[in-house]
Parts: sequence; C-alpha cells; structure tokens
Amino acid sequence: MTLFIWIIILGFLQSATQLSINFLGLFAIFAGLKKGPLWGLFIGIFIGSFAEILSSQAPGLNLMLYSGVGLAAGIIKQKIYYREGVAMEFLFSFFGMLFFYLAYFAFTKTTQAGVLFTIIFSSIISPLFFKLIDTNTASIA
Amino acid sequence: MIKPEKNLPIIVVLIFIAAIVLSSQIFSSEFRIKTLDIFRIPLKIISGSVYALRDVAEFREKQMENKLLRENIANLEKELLNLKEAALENERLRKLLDFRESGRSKFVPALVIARDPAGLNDTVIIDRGKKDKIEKGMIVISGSGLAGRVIETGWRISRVLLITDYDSTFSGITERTRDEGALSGNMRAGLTMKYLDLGCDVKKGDKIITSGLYGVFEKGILIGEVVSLDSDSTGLYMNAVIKPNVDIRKLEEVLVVR
Repeated sequence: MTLFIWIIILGFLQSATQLSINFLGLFAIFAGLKKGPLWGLFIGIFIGSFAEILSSQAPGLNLMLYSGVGLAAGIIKQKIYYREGVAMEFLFSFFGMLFFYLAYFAFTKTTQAGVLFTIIFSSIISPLFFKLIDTNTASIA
Repeated sequence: MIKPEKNLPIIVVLIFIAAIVLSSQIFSSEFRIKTLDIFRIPLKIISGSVYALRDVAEFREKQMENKLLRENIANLEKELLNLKEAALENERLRKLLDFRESGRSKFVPALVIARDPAGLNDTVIIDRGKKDKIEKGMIVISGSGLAGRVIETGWRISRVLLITDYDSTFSGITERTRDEGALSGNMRAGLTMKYLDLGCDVKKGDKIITSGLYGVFEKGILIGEVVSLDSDSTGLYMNAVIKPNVDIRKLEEVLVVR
C-alpha cells in the first residue's frame, strides 16, 4: 500500500515539476528488480494506468511501456548473474530507461531533446532512490 | 493444477495483452479528463508549492525584473496615450464607414498544474474547465505570445496542446514580409516553419505570427522568431527553425481566450 501511495505522490510531483528524472520509470524498474518479474509487471500496469490519466498519448502506450520495463527488469535479473550493489542498480536503471525511451521512439517515431539527460540523471539517482523506497515499502511481497 | 512457476511466461503474456487491450478501452479521452478532475486539488497543491519554492529561489532575479518592468510601464503608458488617440480616431472613422464591431474576446486566467509525467509530449493541464466556459479549441496565450490550444475539457480542468508538441500543426506568416508557411511543433527544439518560398526574404530574427487560416488560431498572435533558415531536402522550399516567444518549459500562468 505504501508503495502505491509513493507512486501517486511522486507521479504528481513529476507531473507538476517537469524534473529530468523519471520517477515512475524507476518505480517500475525497482519493482522488477527487487520483487520479481510478476511484481514488475503488476506495478508497471499500475504506474502505466496512472500515467495514462496524466498523459495525452494513445491509450495503452504508457501502460505497455511501464509494465514492459518492470517485467523486463525482473526477467533479466533472473537470467543473468546479479549481485546486489550500487553498480548493478545503476546499470539496470540506465538500460531500463534506455529501453523505455527507445520503445517509445519505436512506437511513435518521435523523441525529445532532453531524453539522454533524463536517462543519466535517473540512473545516477536510482541507487539512493531504491534504498529509500525499499526501506519504506518493506511490507510489499 | 496450474503451477505459476512453470506457466509464468504464458501468464505474463496473457496479463500483458489483457492489460493493454483493457486500457485502450478504459482510458478514453473522457475518462482521463474526468479522473483528472478528481486529481485537481492535489495537483494544484503540489504545483503551487513548487512554483512558490521556485519564486523564493529566483527572488533576486525577480527583484531586478521588477525594476525593469517598472521602467517599461512608464514607457508603455506614454505609448498607451498615443494608442488611445489612435483608437478614438479609428472609432470615428468606423462610424463614418458604418463598420460593425466584432465580438471582443475575454481572457480567463489559468494555472498550469500538471504536464506529461515522462515528458513524452508537450501538453499541460490547466485548472479551468467547462465551469469557466472553457471549450475545446480555445486559444491559450501566455504574456508574451501563443502557447497552445485547448484539446480536452473537464468540469474544472482542461488539457492544452502546446504549440511545440509534434501533433501541433498550424499556419503562420512572417510579420515583416507576410510569407506564409506551415508550422509544426518540434518539442524542445521549438517549431519548424515549412514550405516557405525559395525566393522569400525571410531573415533570422523575423517575427512569426498566426495567419488565421484554417480556423486553428486567430490572426496576428505572436508565435516566435526565426532562429535559422535552410532549404528542405527536396530543394523546392525553405524551412525555418522558430524559437517560440513563450518559454514552454517555464509555463506557470496562462490566459485562455474565450
């Protein structure tokens, strides 16, 4: 429950401030990475549904992107040798975000200039963000 | 008995497909705007707090800006006097020619309370809606020029498509030479003005205004200025990169033209 409240609060904050950090994307990666692919998918669906309301994109696009990122993070973690640590969290966030924006580009054939900064900033902040969310949402799963 | 571990890929694919199919049915334009109406208050609180914090951080800058604006007011007041004279003269001449006054526009001030969370498109949510007689298609301006147009309206909330969004296409003309072109949004890169004649006299720094054609925007609203010019890939036309006069990234308050 706490995780969902966090998602809504940070989603509103991200929507109101236009920060160069994709908190919602990080949430999806966090869920896949820490709780497994199914949780990644479910949390991704919730985040995607929430983003659908705030966005004017074609219906289903946000949901597909966020749930896809959450699911992919969970599956890849299971398939490769994963060791807990800042570097791994950074790499997962970086490639997760890259996957998110590349998939968006593949579907819409459009992108925006600040995407690279968003990917980098989000990845840099991810270890700290994951730690913060992990301690606050220990009850999940 | 179904073993979740064994059938995980099938379950995942099914959930994924079902979620996407359902979402495309549920998240209609009307559903989204109605849900946003519910979120209006938390969004307004968060955006209001962020703007207040930003104002505190920019206090010194604002102080300087205030000083400059006061000086500008003095100059504008002088100009206003001249304009009032011209308006009176205009009115007299209109009466002589029996012209009918067109309906004057009303401006509804609105606060930008949200944007696309992932920044994937240039739309904003404003805190005015049908309750304030805001309708789809109405023009949204900022202090310095055209910002966009209303594309969805809820009871107390509306969604505005900014001029820099990829889906924003309209016609514009250069203020000086009256050359016409098609403008389209290019997100953070501003706008692109296409199909300008090869022999046109458009220069860097020229102001671009709305042409009023095709009924998208009223004529004469300032859009921005030419940053660079180049011939297009076919070599038949010129393309110009336009920097919008309105800082789309810092849009906080807007006016809806009713």
